[in-house]
Amino acid sequence: MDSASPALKRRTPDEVMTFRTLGAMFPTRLSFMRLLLRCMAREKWKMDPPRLSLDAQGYGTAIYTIRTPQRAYSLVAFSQEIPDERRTDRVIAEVWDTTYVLYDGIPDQAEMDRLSNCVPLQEAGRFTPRELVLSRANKSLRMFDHVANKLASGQQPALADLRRVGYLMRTTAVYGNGKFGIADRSRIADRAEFQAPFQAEMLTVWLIRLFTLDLVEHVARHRGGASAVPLAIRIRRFIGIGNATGLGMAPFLINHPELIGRWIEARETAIARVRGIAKPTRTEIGTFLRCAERALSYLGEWPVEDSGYAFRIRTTIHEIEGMITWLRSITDPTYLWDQIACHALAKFSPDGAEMTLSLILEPYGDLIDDLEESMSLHDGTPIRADQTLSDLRRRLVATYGWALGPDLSQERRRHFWYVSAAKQEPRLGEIGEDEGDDKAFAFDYAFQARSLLAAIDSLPPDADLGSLILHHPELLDLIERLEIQQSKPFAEIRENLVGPDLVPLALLRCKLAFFGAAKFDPLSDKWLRVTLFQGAPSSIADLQETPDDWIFAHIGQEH
Amino acid sequence: MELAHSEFAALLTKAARGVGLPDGLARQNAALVAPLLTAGLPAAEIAAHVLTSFATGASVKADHRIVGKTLFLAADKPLSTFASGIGAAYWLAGGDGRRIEGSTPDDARWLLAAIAYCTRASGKIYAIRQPDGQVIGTTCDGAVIMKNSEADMQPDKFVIESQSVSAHPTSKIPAYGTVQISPETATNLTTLASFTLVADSERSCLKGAGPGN
Repeated sequence: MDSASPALKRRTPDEVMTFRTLGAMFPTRLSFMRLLLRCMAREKWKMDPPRLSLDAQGYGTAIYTIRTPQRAYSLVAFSQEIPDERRTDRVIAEVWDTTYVLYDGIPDQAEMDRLSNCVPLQEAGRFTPRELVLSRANKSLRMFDHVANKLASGQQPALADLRRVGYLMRTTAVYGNGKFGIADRSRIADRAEFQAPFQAEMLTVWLIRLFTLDLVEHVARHRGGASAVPLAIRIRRFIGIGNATGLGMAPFLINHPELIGRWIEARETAIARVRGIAKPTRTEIGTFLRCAERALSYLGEWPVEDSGYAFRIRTTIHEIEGMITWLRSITDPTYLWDQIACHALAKFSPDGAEMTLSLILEPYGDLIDDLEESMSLHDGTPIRADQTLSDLRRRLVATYGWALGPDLSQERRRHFWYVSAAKQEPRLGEIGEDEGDDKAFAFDYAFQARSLLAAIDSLPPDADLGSLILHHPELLDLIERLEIQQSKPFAEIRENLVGPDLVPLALLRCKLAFFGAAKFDPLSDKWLRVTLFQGAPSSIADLQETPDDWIFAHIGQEH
Repeated sequence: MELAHSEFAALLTKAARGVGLPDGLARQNAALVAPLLTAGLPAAEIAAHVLTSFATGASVKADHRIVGKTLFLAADKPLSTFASGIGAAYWLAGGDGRRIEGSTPDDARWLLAAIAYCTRASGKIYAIRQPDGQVIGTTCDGAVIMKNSEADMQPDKFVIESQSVSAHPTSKIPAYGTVQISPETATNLTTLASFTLVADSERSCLKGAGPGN
């Protein structure tokens, strides 16, 4: 690798906010699942013994109450038998194997009665601000039965099966922030435990995972009686929660530029801080190497059918192996992380580079964990209406230069984003092929930037922005996005979001990586499956022992 | 019925898109609910009324003329208060000494909410008053403070201009606040929102999101 100089600057938005980079992101220690579990361990959260009211088949209710230093929250779970033909992961499903709510406090019997009438209905129910998160999950039937039967017969499940499907259930939706009447985000935003993004949702999923583990052991006990055994600790840890994610998630990334700008900025700032370290210690290098070796095993256990993704994974294995070999031979670690980052960014595939950047953050919690405080959105950015159009033009050209070149012709409009009447979810149409482009989301920001430039040039340069909005209210969205990017430069994806080169999976992967999801498994170019909390502590006691050492978890070989 | 604040904002945004407003205006429309809620006003009903009026055919562009530092806003069409309200509000915030004169806004409270929201970073207080000087309401730090009764919500003529008074005490929206909305209003807004929905084509059913999702 080349000798390096300190790289104290962050990468630029032009380098990061592309399908290529966003679509190769991995979880980091700033991912929201990691933030939650660190907070739980730091604040020494406690948990009441679960209250399970389940029959022999595992149908019934369960309550998991967790206690922070100030409050209690309860996951209320409902498990029911459903016909196989009605089990679907689609948003339009009407029944699920299990349904959940994260309740603010501990529900009494009257509240349980109310919840039992509405939670299993999900979207068709009405909720109150006592409910913070609403969710549901379906069993991976084959995996659930396999694990239950093995445990019932006194054996542990086969590791080969766990490597292929690392979960017992898949969540099909996790709703927060006011959906169907549940609490607004503003109701809990000032609580210390929910300061970071999506913490109530992450807590819900972690508790659901505990329930699925307890549920399978419960079923196994009833099937096997005295022969049954519980899950081995390392297997219990390895089993996560599945999730299928499609286009419904993509517009969030586009519609929340300021929030996304904060997330990416925190990540890029963390990388820049670590690259600026002049003399890493042997302990820090050792932590990095241990995580990198674990990542290699993780990559080897990442099963995908998509041939393109499989090639990407093989390439990443080769690159990480090479990096480890090189690192073991170095004698002068001066600006080691910057050397590694420079090499990875110049020579590695996008996946190899992003995994490397994720790995160099691992030894440096003390240096970067404070950045989680900057990842939530508080007040939106107001538009400064009194700025002159000459100033606005300068900012527009500097920020949207990528969209203002001659190569962005109208022929580069290929797709439109719409909400499907049947699915009630965002979908992608093709212009000229599908009807409905008149009802599309205005995600053609590259083209709007060009329209804004033309509008500015049609008015006197000393005119003000307020006058421009009066004449062109249709450009308000783009103007607001431009304003946001003056303080949050990573707020906009610098790609044509309606063009022929659109990569929807890149948007999904970026957001899922920030959640902390692993094992991205594309099932088409528009949806993928992932595993959440795989390798994470699976009980409060486990959490207190090793809360944060689970990135790139793997299960290893049979003993 | 009772809706979460963000649930109502999402519905209002969809309904605004349903009547043809561009995304930015639709989203800012929903943001205007907050200043009204802060003032204890029936934000949901006001917003829904304005939006329903808008659905009857107003343009998103303000019908206006500018003479010097005065914007003459014609609000004789079913609401220009809405789209032109936001446009006019940003114009107002764009320079010192600017004022708006107009007639018969669809709902003066909504217009004032637009002024409050769009000028929240300007550090100025704006007042809406009738030609005889009677103040109907003011803005302060992004909030709306109404002075008069419901009867004055559609003044024949009005003036909006910066006011040099000491800041009013403002209150934040209660964190536990929900939005009360009548079933009729909810139905109306849901109908408007449904105009944004698109029937999947056969091709899209096969390839729009992939099987299983």
